[in-house]
Amino acid sequence: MSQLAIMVDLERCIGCRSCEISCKLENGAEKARNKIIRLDPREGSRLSFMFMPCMHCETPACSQACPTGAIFKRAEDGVVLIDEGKCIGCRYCSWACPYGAMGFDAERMVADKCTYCAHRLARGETPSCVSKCPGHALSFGKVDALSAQAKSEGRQILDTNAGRTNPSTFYLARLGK
Amino acid sequence: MIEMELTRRTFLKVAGASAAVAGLPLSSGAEAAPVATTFGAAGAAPVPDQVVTAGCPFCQSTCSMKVHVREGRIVNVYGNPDDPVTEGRLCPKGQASVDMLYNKYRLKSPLKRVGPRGKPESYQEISWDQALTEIADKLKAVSVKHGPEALAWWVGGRSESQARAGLTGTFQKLYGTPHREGTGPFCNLAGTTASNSILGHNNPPWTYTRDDFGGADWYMLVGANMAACKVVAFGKVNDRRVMGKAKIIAVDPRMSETAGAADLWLPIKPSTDMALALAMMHHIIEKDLHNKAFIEKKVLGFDKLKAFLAEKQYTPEWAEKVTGIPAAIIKEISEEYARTEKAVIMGNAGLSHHTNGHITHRTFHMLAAITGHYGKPSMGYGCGNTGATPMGSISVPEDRVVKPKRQRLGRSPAAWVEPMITGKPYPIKAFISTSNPLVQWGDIQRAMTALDNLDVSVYYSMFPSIETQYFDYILPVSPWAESGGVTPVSDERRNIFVPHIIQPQHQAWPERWIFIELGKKMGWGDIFKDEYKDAIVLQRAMAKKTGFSPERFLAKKDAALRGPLPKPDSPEVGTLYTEAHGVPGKKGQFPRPSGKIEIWTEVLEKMYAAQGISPLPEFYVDPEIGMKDGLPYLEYLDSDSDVGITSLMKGIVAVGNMRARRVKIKYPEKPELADFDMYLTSGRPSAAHFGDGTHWIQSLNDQAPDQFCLIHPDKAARIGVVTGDTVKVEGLKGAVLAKAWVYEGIRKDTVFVPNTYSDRQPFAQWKSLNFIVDKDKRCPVSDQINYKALVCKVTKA
Repeated sequence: MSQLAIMVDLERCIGCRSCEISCKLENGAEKARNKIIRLDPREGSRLSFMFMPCMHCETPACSQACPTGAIFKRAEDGVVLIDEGKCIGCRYCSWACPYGAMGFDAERMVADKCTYCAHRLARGETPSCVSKCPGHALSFGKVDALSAQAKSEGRQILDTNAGRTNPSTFYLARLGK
Repeated sequence: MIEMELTRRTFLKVAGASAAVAGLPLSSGAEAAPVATTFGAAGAAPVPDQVVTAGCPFCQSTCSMKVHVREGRIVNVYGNPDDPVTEGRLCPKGQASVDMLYNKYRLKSPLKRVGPRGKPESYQEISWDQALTEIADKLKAVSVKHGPEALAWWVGGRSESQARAGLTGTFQKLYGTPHREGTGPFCNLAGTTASNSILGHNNPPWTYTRDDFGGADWYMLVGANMAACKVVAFGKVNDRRVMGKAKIIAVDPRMSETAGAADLWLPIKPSTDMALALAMMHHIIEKDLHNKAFIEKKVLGFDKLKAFLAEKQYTPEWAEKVTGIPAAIIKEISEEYARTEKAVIMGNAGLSHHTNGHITHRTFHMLAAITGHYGKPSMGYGCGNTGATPMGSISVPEDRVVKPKRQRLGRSPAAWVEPMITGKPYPIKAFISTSNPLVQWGDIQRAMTALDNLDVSVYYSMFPSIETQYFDYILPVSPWAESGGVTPVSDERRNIFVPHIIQPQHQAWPERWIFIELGKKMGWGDIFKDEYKDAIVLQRAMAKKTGFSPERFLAKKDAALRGPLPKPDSPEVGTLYTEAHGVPGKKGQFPRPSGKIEIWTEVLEKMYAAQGISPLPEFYVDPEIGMKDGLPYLEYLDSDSDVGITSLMKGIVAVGNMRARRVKIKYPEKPELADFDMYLTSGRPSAAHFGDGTHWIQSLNDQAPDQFCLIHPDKAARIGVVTGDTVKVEGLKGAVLAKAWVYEGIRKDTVFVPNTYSDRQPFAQWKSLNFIVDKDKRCPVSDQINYKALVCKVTKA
């Protein structure tokens, strides 16, 4: 398997929240499946923004918590998807996700999450949010190639694996000042 | 936006940290349980059966877009990868232009007021024919009774250009009023007039491409929150910084999104930016770092400037006291700037919205001039949104043009309010408007009073904003894709052709149709021809003599043309003020009469002296700041009901025979206003908002739903306020409420309350900050209102 991922550059994100609107439009969702969280300056730090889509973890907590096996990690590219036919709407997945990335479609009573725009990937396109990002803060591709590129540029990759789920979406730390 | 989800707090701590981060302890599953987000019925956007290239209708980036259409309905918009400005990127607003079209709040039918103002139930639906017949009859009667000068038309800034700039101009010529104005006097006319006065043309030197604006080594953004206001352009500049190729300095009283990305944030005291430029020049000249060869060849008045700076002692130490920026930093950035060839300084509304807006921009132009920062790409000083380049208009026979006989009453539409009420120096009795005078103008209560004194008032727009409860006639407008036409212009002179993509909804009409039909009712059907309802036919007629033909637009992959294109075959030019190009259609590298950059000339001296000021940069601040701190400020010798003098500033700001106000710079003996302990500044709430209109689009409004008040933790603690509390912000002209947002990234003596909110918006109701803005304290040259430097008291409400 060759894991796909979004690489998020916290130094490039300018907090415009284009990603949220692009998700709503592309996925016909009332609430975006991603979100920007604003991190106000504290004790001299700078204003920063955190883009939060699904992490598409290597060992997804959502999938492990699912009693019906509705959530699966796609073999060829590691994208984590929901088989809505199997989902019974119990929401155990949203309790399990350490990143708060799992949502719920109350109308259809099924779990709902970022798919990296799987329908666009099938057409050879990148996720909608990545394609529109004015800050050039989001990159999409194979996780190994992206992290190699980041390291070659001397960028520090944040350890966000506190939940021990080995997230695929990964973050480049802000540059030291 | 303010709250952070508890469950994510631990994870998020890493984001702000730049040091190495070890494995993070997360809360246990039980504690960490997040509340499930409801996404609603989801389904991927349908695959389009048609993709149309069009332009975004919102801000001054004028982005090219790929509009996805399926079965006659717009289903999505994407960026246009063939657009060298956006490189295929789009901000929230451009995308939400879909939600702007399919929006349940749209105005659906013409309305007529039949009851008291201020109540929606006072309006009844009428037909277009009745509305336009009655409006035309009343406009004719106003002309007969009060003279054609008694009509005032505010055409706004961001509606479709053929109608907004073209057809209203034709209407004006036939009617004979001098009073037609766009948004400039509320936006960046201070920058426009400064550039006219010193470079001889309104536009900044650059284009927002990587080989020009995007390619500098050093940027100073002064009063310019580009990350929220010029999103795609800033994305590229910041990209360059992250690549290690550029330094960004942000000068702003608060840590804006832009300042959060910058290498250096200089939290300047509101209203004092001019002092920064003065001290930078003083230091550069003292260190002998000015560009003598450039000055010798291309600048007039340097010796006068040098002597003036020395005489006034505008030193970095003086500026430290005035601005709050340490002298050592001013010296350091001055030297960096003078030594860096590819260095850009950009100002925006943060400089323009002041009584010293014009002279502040002029001073920054001087700084760029004496360091030789003009003539090549990736350099220079400029201000955003300084106006379009001429696109042409439909022809009106000379004998049909009615020339106004009386003076134009100032440049700003805010100057129309007192004549509407007092009838002096002569009455304005008819008012046509779009945009949001009752959100945007200062002293809003006074503008509401003015409406009562008119014979007729007409408002045309998309949404039932506060104006639709105060004007006499309300006309529903079909925006961009329903109308087709030409986008408003970008900061860097681009317009984009928008095809007619979908049918107008409800009973709304494109502005182009409304003005043609109104023109016909006025008896001018031979000029306002029905065939011009077709955007392509009209464009061909308007651009007969210029290069903005529909064929040229449509031949481009981004459907964009960059002016000036004075002739049908004029090539598009990138950087302005180069030796090779200067400004197309104008004479000289710098199209002032001398062909040089004019810091001081005898002619300029006369123009400015007539109003009691000087082309040389004599420092003053906004009146309330001057009174509070004992700094020089303007006293006004003429009011808006006076005749004043006739402006001598032809080609800089004057439109025909135009009234100008005389002022005097007052040097106060001691500070006053001790009761008011805080400065109040303003600006855009976030990248989501652009005037009142975006508050009617839920996806955008959700991103910044409430009028907030950024307040430093020290001050918040003193008045017992925490984030989320409602605070009262009281200025000299009254008070407004806002939600407190305790924020470390703002000066301790300053609060920031954003503009664009109104108490008649659908999702949240906040009385506009502009109720407490003084419309009478304006820049003597640009006529701009001071929105951004008031004094206030803040208390828990």
